Amino acid sequence: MIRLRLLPLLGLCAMLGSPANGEPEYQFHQYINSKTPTSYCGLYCALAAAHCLGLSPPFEPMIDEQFLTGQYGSSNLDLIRLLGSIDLEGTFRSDLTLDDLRSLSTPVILHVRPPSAVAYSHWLMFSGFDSTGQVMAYDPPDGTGLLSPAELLAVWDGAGVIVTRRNGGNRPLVWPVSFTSLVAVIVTGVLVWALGTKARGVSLILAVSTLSSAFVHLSPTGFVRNVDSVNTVRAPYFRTPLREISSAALRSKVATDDVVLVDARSSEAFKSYHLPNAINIGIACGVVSLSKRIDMLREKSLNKTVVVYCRGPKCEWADRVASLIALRTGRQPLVYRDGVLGWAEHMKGD
Amino acid sequence: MNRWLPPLGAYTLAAVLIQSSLIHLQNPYAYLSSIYAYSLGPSWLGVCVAIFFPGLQLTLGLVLLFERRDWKSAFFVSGVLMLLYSLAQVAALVRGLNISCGCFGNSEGNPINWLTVARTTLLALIAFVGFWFSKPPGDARSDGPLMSTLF
Repeated sequence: MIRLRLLPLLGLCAMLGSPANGEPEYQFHQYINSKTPTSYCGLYCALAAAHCLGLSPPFEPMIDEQFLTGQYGSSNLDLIRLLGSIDLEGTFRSDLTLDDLRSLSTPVILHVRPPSAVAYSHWLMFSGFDSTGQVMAYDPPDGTGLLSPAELLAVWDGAGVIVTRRNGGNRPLVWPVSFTSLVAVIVTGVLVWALGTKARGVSLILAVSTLSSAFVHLSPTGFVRNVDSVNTVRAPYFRTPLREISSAALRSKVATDDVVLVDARSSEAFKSYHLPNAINIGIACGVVSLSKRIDMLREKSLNKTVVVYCRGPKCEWADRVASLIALRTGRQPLVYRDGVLGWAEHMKGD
Repeated sequence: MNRWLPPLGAYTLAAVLIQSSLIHLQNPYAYLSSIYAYSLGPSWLGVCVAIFFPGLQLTLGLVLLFERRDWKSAFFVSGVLMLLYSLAQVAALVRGLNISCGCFGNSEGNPINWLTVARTTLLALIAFVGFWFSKPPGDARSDGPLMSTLF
């Protein structure tokens, strides 16, 4: 069941041209065109938060240099200023946890990284948990979608801006830490003691540490049950050695429909031109749509070769996206090093 | 003076260890990401560290707070841990990596610099001083070999 406060957000997504069901499409609202930088994600999140809280401020005034002073777009201070300008209040916290999100009943703009990237350069808006415990998120420009808590943790650095109405009541109460893990250690310690072991000193410390670590990582958000999320963290740091494919070989595979092409560029670049029947899993692909696009890739690529390309030989995005695909699907994609530029040259040569 | 050093060291270390560990336990994926940023080993080693170290830190913190009899061991392990963290930070600085310390979360406002190295080294020093001045467990010879006082 969708919580009531998500309904205004769905209306916003319809207005923005992103379908509410989260499936990627390349229809763009008037605010989003081929020249719009992805650095507007903070602005979109602020607008979405305003809609969730019952306000409908105009978007154009938000596109202002004073709200885009950060390295990648809006800094947390920019967002607080922006929210203040539309009669809302933003409270920045750098140590938020999942338990904090569960205790809040207000939108939170979370600081995340695109799954293929190392830098935390993106904002998405958290709008609650659904009845199955999945995270409901608005990830501009892809739209709304659901994430598992582990998927969110894999890309979130714990920072976020809590959005409330100005003078709208009590400040949000946020516990500084969760005591779940503390309880885990105490319980484990008591257990070890009760079993009558003679462990003391380093033996006791190691035994309690090991048992409590196992307790944490066998939980629903632990590493053991979320290998995909662990791989999402690994992907930008550990590149899988990749084989390449030439223009001629690729053209032959395209002619026999023996290949699924993946475009690693931004969605704006993909919209303006892409290789035949390619799908877009861009370097800045949002976390909300990544899982859906990987699932789509898995369906389309049964018994076919997956080839990832980018703009040209000097672009490393194809390698990063290919590594992510390799980790998430267990299959080894090829890289078309010459990219869009090489393909255009090759086709011109005919 | 010597009487006060172990409790002072214990509570200082406990506060740092518990705060750091709870942040990492709440988001082990961000902790894993900060470990990988150091580029110090293969991916499986990072996963092992991310799984084990936060629990170890929390256990050490609680032992230092509540279990006086095991202070000597807790100081020793804490000292080794802090020394490892210092060495990792020095390695990152020497290689010119502009990364977050990862000590209290993965926020970009916490980059590695010589100040963070000094802080971690100071904590290692506190741990080893606490180890030196704390009493061994009652059933161990105070002048016995190291292992008999730790285990």
